[in-house]
Amino acid sequence: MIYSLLIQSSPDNLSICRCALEFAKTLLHRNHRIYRIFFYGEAVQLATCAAVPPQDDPDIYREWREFLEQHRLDAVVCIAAALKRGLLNREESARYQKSVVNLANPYDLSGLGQLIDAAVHSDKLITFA
Amino acid sequence: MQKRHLLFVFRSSPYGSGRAREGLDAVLAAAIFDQTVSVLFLGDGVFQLCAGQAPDDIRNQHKMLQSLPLYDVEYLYFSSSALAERRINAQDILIPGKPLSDPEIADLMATADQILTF
Repeated sequence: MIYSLLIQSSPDNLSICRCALEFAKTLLHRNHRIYRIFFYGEAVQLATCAAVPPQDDPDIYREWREFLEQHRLDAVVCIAAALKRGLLNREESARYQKSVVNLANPYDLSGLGQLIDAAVHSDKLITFA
Repeated sequence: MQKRHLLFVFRSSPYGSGRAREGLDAVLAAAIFDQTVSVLFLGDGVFQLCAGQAPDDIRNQHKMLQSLPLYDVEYLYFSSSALAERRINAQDILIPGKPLSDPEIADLMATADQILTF
């Protein structure tokens, strides 16, 4: 089956972000396909490359990044949700004349149309909120 | 784009987080992309429907919801039991929506192609 994920919880909510990651890993393990993972709301903060978790804490940012890169998944961060929370790629940083570029690879910024597209083109869209 | 039935479930109170507002933005995106959109208010989400909201300096969620018919979002539902649990009177809801019992909510969820929860 073709799945997409909608993730909305902040990285601070470690259990939900971890749950979503384990779910995604299990999907691939069982030979399902992931069409897209859409990061919305507070979850856009997972896509920062600038977070430094305390030494004793698991690095959920790195875990997500490595998983997305390893499987070359389509990871889309809602651009409006990202901009208002101060998460910028090179292009947006230049557009708004900011001195920061903090969107990690392999995340892309795009619009809510990508969420609707994922809902239309997947057999199941699963929300983690 | 193919046309599918997307059910948006709102479970958050209007102002405690950005979720109600961001959920509504997603509903509008679905409407713009010409999908069949239903919106269901569950749990604390029914507080979004209450009339008389007067937030200072932030967007009034109730007013935004009233604009949904302009975007051809015609199917609004709310949970009767969520209303009763919170002692909200149906006449205090000024948005045209249909009250649903819990079994009717299950039926609605079964008919949707996708469910997006906010």
